[in-house]
Amino acid sequence: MKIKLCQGGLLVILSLSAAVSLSAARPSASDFDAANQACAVQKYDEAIRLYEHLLQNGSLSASVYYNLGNAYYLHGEVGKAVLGYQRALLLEPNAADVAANLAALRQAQGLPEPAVAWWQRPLLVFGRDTWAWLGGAALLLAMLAVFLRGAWLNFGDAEKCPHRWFHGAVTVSGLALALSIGGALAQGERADRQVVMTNDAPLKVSPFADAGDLASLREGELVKPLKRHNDFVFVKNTAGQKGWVAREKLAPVVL
Amino acid sequence: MMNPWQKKIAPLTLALLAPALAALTARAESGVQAVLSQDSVSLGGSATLQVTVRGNSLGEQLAVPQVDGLQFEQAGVARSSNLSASFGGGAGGSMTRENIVQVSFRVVPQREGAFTIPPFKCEIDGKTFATQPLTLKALKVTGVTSSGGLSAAPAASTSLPAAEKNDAVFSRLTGVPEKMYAGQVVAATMQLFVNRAANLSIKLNGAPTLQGGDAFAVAAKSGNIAQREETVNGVPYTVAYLTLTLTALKDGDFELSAQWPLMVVTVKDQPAPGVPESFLNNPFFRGMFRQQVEEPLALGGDKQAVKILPLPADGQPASYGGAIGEFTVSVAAEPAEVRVGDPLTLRMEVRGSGNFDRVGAPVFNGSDGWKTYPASARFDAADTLGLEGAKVFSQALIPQNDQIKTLPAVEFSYFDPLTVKYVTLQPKLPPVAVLPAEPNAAMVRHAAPDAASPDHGPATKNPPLAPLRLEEGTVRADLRPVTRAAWFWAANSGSLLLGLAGFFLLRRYRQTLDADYQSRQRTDRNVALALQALDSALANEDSAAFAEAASRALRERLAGVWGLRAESITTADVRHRLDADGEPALALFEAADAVTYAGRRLSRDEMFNFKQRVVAQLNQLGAAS
Repeated sequence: MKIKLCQGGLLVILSLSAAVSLSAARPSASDFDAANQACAVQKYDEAIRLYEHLLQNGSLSASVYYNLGNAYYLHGEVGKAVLGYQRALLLEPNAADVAANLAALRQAQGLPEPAVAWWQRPLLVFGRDTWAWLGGAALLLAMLAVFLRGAWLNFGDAEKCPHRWFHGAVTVSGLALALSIGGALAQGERADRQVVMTNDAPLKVSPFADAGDLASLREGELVKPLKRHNDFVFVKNTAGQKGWVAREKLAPVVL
Repeated sequence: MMNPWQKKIAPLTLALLAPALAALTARAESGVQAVLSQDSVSLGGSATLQVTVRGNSLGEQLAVPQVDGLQFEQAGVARSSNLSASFGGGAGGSMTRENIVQVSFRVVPQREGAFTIPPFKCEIDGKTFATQPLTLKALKVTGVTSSGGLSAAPAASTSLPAAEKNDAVFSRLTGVPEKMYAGQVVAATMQLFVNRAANLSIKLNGAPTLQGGDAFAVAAKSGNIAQREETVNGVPYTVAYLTLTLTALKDGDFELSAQWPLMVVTVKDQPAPGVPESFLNNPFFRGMFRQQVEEPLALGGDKQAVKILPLPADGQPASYGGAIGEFTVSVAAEPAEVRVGDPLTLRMEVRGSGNFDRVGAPVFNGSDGWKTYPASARFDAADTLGLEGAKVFSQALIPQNDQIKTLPAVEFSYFDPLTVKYVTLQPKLPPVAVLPAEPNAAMVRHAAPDAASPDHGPATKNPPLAPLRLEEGTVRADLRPVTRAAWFWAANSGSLLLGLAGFFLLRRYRQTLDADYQSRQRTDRNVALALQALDSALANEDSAAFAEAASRALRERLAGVWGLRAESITTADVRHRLDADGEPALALFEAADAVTYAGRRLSRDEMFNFKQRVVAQLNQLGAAS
C-alpha cells in the first residue's frame, strides 16, 4: 500500500516537471547572436529590431530583455531601457549585471530608486515563479504527509506509525508554504509596477485631459498602478505622490 | 342690572344676533386709505396699490381714477367685518360693527415718467371720503458700465442720467488696473446690479463675456455665477458676479467691457397664444394666462481703458524667466550628506502671488562640480484663481567630486509691477557634505561606446555598462507568472484533494479508536456495578446474591474482551474459549454455579476469599484486553 502511495506522489511531481519543460520554447541562437553583433557595432536600431523580433516569436529570456535594455539605453530611450531591465529582473531576480546597469541608468538620469522594505529584501531573492513552485511543492509535501499518515494508521500497523516524521514534514512544509506566499506577493508587487515611457508625463488631479497637473513624471520612473478610469491610470510614484496619468504614457512590466 | 345667568348668555346671544343687530349699532370709524408698495417702478414692472375702505354702511363701488400712462388692474378684493360690544353702567351698553373692504390693484406704467394718482373717492355712511393723491415714478430699463464707483461720470450715448443711474440695472467691472504689463495676471470681477425694488423679471440668456479684443486671455476659474445682496447708496441690490483672471498678452491701449446677455420678461395685458380672450375677464385666471414677452436688454455701453506696457528691458536680470508679481524663495536639500555620484534632491519653493504659470525654476548661478537634471514642478494654489500659492521645484543634482563644499548658488528673478522694478532673490542655501564615492561594482567592466554611430540615439553621456550577454539562457514563451496558469492551480488542487483524503483517513482512524474506548468504558462501568453488588452481598452474608454478582462481574469483563453481550456468555463458553491460563476464571464460574444452582452456602471468610480471587481475575482479564 505504502509503495503505491509513494508511486502516486512521484507521478504528480513528474507531471508538474513535465508541464514546466513543455512550457519552454526552443531558443533561436542565430537571431540572438545577430542582434548582439549589431549592438556591438553600435547599430542599435538593427539590434533593437532583432531583439524585439525574438521576443515577438516567443523567445523570452532574461538575456534577451537585458541586452534589449542595453540597446535601448545606448540608443537614448530610457523608458524602454528600464522596461527591458525590469523584465529581465522578473525572470532572473538575482542577475547582478541587470541590477548594475539599471542602477547606473538611474544614477545617470537622476531617477529615484524604488524603495524596498527590509522584510521584502530576502523575499526578492527568488522570482515569482520560483516562489510559486516552492509553494506548490510545499503544499504537495504537506498534503502527502497527511495522506500517508492517515493511510498508515488505517491500513498499516498503527503502533509503528512514525508520527514525528509526519508532523515534522507538515510543519516544515507549512513554513515553506507561508514563506512562498510572502515571496510571491513581494515579487508580484514588483511585477505589477509600470514604467513611465515619456519625459514630463503629467501627473493629473483627475482622469481628464484638461485636468490640472500635480507634478510631472520622468521617463523611466516606476509607478505603482492603483486603479483605472477610461484612458487614465491612478498611480503612486516612488516619492509617494498619487495622481492620474494617461495610460499611453505607461508600459506595464508584465502584460 | 344683569344677573349672573344673563352675563353668561349675553355674549353668545350677541354673536348669534349680530347681523340682526347691525342696524342698531352705534357709529364706526369710517374712512378710505390708499397705499402704494413703492415709489418707483421700471417699465415692464408693476407696483401694488391697496385701497382700504372702513365703515358701517358702504355705498356704491369704489371709483377707479383714470391716469394717462398708467393701467390699473384689479388684483383682488377682501371683505371683513368687526363687531364689538360694550356693557357698562345702567345704560345697558352699546354695540359697534365695522365693515372693511380691501381692494388691490396692480399698477402697470405704460411709459416712462412721473405720474400722480388722483384720490380714490368712496361714499360711506352717506358721506363722501377721498384718499390722498399718490406719486409713482416709472423708469426706463437700461444700464451703464462703470469701472469705479457709482459716481463715475456717465459715458457714451447709452448711459442714464446721473440721478437715475443706479435705479434699475447696471454692471461693473472691478479689479482691472489702468496699467498692466504683458504677461501680468490680475483677478477681475464682472458684477451685475439689479435694483430689488424695481420688481424686474430678468433672465440671463447665456454666459457673460468680457469684450477686449485679443489683448487678454480670460479664464473664469471659479466657474458658476454667484449671487449676493448689496446696498449701494441706501438702495438694495441683488448682485450677480463672476470672478475671472485676465492675462495681458500684448502691449498697447485697449478697452474692456462686460457683456451680460439679459432678457427682460414683460407681462402683456393680452392672452397667451391659444388662450381665449374671455379668460382675462376672470380675476383668477387673469394672472395665469396673460402673455409673457421676453425682450433683450442691452447693457455695457461703457468701456474700461487699459494700457498694457511691455516689460522694461533695462535692468532685466539674466535669470529672469517671466514671473510677474511678488515672490519669496526658499531652498532645502535632501539628503544633507551625499556621496560622489549619488543623487541629491534640491527642493526650491517659490511662494507669493502672481502669474504662476510663467514662474520657472530658480536658475543655477554656476554649477561647477554638479551634474544637474531638469526640475519637476508642482503648484499648490492658495486661492481658487491660482494667483496665490507656492510652486515647488524638485531638482536632482549629482556631485562629481568630493571637493565640493556647497550647493550651487540659485537665483530667482521677478518683475514687481507695483514698484516697476526687477527683483532678484538669492536664497540661503542649506549646508551639504559631499563624501568620496564608494568603490564601484565589479560588474561594471565595460564602457559603452561614445555617441558616434549614425543610428546612435540622442547624445547622452551614458555611464559604464555591464557587457551584453552572449548566451540566450533559459527561454520561455510567456512573461506571465506561472500563478496565472490554470494547470498550476489544477495541480495544487490535486495536492489539496490528496490532503483532504488524508484528513478523511485520519478522522476515520480516530472514530475507530473512539468505538473501542467507549466499549472499554462501558465494560469497566458494568464491572464496577457488579463489584458493588458483590460487596453488598458480602455485607449481608447473602451467598446466592454474592455468587450471582461474582458471576456477572466476570461475564462483563469477558464480554468486553470477546466483544459479546454479557448475558450470552455461559460456563461452557468460558471453558471453550479460555485456554490453560483461564483455569482460575473457569473455577470461579463453577464455584459460583454451585452456590447458585446447588444451594451451597458460603461462610463470610469464604466469601471474602472468593471476592479476592474474583478481583484478581478481573484485573488479569482487564490487562489482557
